[in-house]
Amino acid sequence: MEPMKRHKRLAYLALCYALFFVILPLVVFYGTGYRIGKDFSVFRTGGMYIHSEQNNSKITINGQKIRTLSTFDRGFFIQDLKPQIYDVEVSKKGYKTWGKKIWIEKGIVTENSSLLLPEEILFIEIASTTSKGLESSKYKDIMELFLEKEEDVVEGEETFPRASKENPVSSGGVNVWKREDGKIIATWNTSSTKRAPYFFCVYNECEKEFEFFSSLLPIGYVDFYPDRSDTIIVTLPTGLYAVGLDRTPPQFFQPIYESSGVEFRVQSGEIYIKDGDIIGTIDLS
Amino acid sequence: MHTEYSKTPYFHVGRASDLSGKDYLIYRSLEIFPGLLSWGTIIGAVLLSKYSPTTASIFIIAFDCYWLLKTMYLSIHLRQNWKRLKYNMSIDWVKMLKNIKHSNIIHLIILPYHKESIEVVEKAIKSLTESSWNSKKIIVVLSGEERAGKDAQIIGEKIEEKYKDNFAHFLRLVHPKDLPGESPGKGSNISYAAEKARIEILDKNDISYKDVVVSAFDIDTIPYSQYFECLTWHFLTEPDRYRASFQPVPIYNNNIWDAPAISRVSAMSATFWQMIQQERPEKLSTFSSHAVSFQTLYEIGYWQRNMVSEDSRIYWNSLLAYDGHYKVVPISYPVSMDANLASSFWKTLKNIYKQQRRWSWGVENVPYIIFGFIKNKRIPLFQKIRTTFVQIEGFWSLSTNPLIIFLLGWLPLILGGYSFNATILSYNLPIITRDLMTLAMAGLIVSAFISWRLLPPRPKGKGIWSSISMVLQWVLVPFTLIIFGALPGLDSQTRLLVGKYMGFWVTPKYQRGQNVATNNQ
Repeated sequence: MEPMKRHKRLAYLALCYALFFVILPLVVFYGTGYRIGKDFSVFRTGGMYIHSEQNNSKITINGQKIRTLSTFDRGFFIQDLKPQIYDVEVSKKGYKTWGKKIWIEKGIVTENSSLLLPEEILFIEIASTTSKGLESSKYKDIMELFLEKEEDVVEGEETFPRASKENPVSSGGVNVWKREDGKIIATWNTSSTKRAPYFFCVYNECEKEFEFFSSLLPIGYVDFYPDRSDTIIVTLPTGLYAVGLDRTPPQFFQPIYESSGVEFRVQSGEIYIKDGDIIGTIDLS
Repeated sequence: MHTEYSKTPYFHVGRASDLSGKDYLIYRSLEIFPGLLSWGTIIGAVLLSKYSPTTASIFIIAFDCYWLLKTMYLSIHLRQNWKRLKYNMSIDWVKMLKNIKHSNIIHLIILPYHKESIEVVEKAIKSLTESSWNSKKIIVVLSGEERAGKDAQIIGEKIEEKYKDNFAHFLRLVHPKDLPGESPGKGSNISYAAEKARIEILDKNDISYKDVVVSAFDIDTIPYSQYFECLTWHFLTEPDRYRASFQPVPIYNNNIWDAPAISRVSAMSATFWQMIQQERPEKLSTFSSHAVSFQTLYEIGYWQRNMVSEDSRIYWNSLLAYDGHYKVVPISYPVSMDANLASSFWKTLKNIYKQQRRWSWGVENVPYIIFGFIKNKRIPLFQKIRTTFVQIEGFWSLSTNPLIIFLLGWLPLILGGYSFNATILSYNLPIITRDLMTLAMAGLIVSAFISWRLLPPRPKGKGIWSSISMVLQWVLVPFTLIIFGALPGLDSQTRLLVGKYMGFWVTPKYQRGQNVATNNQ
C-alpha cells in the first residue's frame, strides 16, 4: 500500500487554502460586528455588556427576554445590536428590577453594571444602646464606627472633613466627594494604570470628573456600596438610598432603608445601620 | 567511493566553529536565524498587541483559522497512514518476499548502549532472535561506551556469551572515549561500530556492502515481528535503493502501561508526527531507528561523529552528497520503543523535557542544509527553496504556534488599552479563538482512537481505570504542546542562536521493578 498520492494531497491542500481565504474574511467580518441583513445589505452592529452578580437573573431588551445568567457567567454579552437606544432591564424574582437606556454604537460594546436589590430588605438587629445584646467587644467595635471621624491631616495643622475634595471616599480608583453646593462629584484617580471605568465615559468619550448626584434635601453621610465602585449610599433625611455613578439615564436610585434620622457605616462588606437606639445590619443578598 | 560534495571539508561540519572566514560567518548567521525568527514572532506579537491591537487580533484569528485547517489537513494524513500501518501489519511479508530474490540480504543491526541495565540490553537482543527473519541472516553489533565504565563492558560480555551463536555474526565493541574529531553521543558510537563491522565482518567474510541493510537502533528498540521482511521487501522493490533510507514508525509501547499520562501523550504525539510524515515522503527525514544500505553508508562516511542529531543528519548528508537525489522510503511498519519513565513523576517530567529538547535540537540541521544548498550548485533550485521552507517552517511552528494560540491570544486584551477593549472585536476575540480551537481539538478524537488501537493488551494487574485514562489523557494536549513542545523548541533554538551548543543526552531507560539506568552525558 503506497502513501497517499501526491496529487490527492495537493488537492486537499488547495482545498484548505481555499477554505482559509473564505473562512478568514467571514470570521473577521463577523468578529468586528458586520452582519448581512435579510435584504443582503451589509451593516455594522454593536454590543453591550451588562455586569450582574446574581445567578439566574434575566436580561430583557426592549421588553424581549434575551437570556438568563448561568452560574459561571458574571455578565451578559449581547451583540448583533443595530446602533440605537435600547431599554435594558435585568430582573430576578424577589428583587427590584434594574433598568437603563443604553445607546449602542457600531463596532463598540457599551458596558454597564446592574445592581439588584431585594424587594424586601431585611433589617437584622444586632444590639440596642439600652441593652447590649452582643459580646461587649463586638458591640464596642460597631459603636465605635458611628463615633469615629475620618480626618486627614495635611501640612501640619489643617484637617479636612470626610468626603471632601481633599479627603474623598475611595473605591477601586474612584473618588467621590461632596462639593460645597451639596452636589456629589466622582473623579477617576488618573495616576492609576488601569483604564477609567465605563461610567466615566459616554459614547467612548471619557471624563476625569463628573457630577452625578444632587438633592434638594441635605445629603449626610456618603460611602461606597460594599464591594462596588459604581454605586454609593447616601443618607438623606428620609433614609438611606443607593445611587449609581451614572451619566446616562435613568440614574439608578433606590431606597435601602427608609427612616428619618438613620445613620449607616460600611465595614468589611457589611452595612451597619443605626436607627435611633437600635443597631443592625441589612441583608442585601 | 565518495561523491564530490562529500569530499568537501564542510561535508561533516558540526557547528560554525568548525569553519573559518566567510564560511564561518555564513554558517553562524544561519545558526542564528531560526531562533531569531521564533523570538521575533513572539516579541512581534507582544508589540503588535500593544501598539496595534486590532491588527494583532486579526492576525490571531487568521492564525487560529490556519491552525484549524492545518489540523484537519494533517488529520487526513494521520488517518491514511493509520490505514497503511494496519494493512502493513496485517499482511504476510514472508509471502510477499516469496517471488523476490532475497537470500543474499543480510541485516546488520547496530545497538549502541551506555549504562542501560542488562535487562534492557537483553530485551533488545532477544527480540531479534524472536523476529520471524532468520537470525542467521542477522549481524549484531553491540557497541558499549568506554566512558560507561567496567559494568557496561561486563553486560556486553554476558550478552555476547549468551546470544552470539544465535546470529550470523555477533560483534561486541567498546567505543573508546575521546577519539579525535568526535563528540560523545550515539553518532560517534554507531559510526565507529559500522566501520569496525566493515573491517571485521563484511570484508573478512567477503560480504558485499550492497547486500547489507543497516538498522541503527536505540538499545530499547524492539522491532515488530516481520520488521525485517517488510524492510527487505521495501529495500528490494525500491529502484533507487542505494539512494534511499528506510523509515519505520516508532511506537513507544514497551512500557506504555507503566508510563504516566503526560509521558504517553508526549510519546504518542511523536508517533503521530512520524505517521503524518510517512504520508508526505518528500518532507520526511530519518528519525531515531532507521535503516540504510551499508553501501550508501560507506560512501558518505557513516553518521556524523561531531554533532547530536545524527539520525536526521545522515539524511541531509546523503541529500547533499548525491546532489538532491536521495529520499526516505516510509515503510509504515512499527518498531517499539520506551516511553519516558523514571523512578518518580517529577523525574519523568524532567526527562520528557530533556528528550524533547534533544529532538528539537534537530534545528542544528537548518544551517547545515542551507549552507549545503549554497555550496552545492547541482541541486535544483526549486528543491532547495521547498526544502528550506519546509525545514524553517517546521521548527518555527513547533516553537511559536502553541504559544501564539494558547497564550499570546490574550495579549491584545491585556495590552490593547481602553479604546481597543471597548470594541466588539475585543469581546469576540476570545470567543472566536475558543470556538476555533475547540473545533481543532475535535481532531483529538481521531488521535485517541488511533492511540487506543495501537496499544498492546492491558497487562494483568492494571485495572479498568488504566484503560480509561488512555482515552482521557488527550485533554493534556494543550499543556504538552506548550511545555513539551514549544518551550523545548524555543530552548534549543535559543541555545543555537547564542552558540551554547548542546551535547548528547542519553534518555534513561527505566523499567518498573528493574534496576534504574541513570546516565546523562
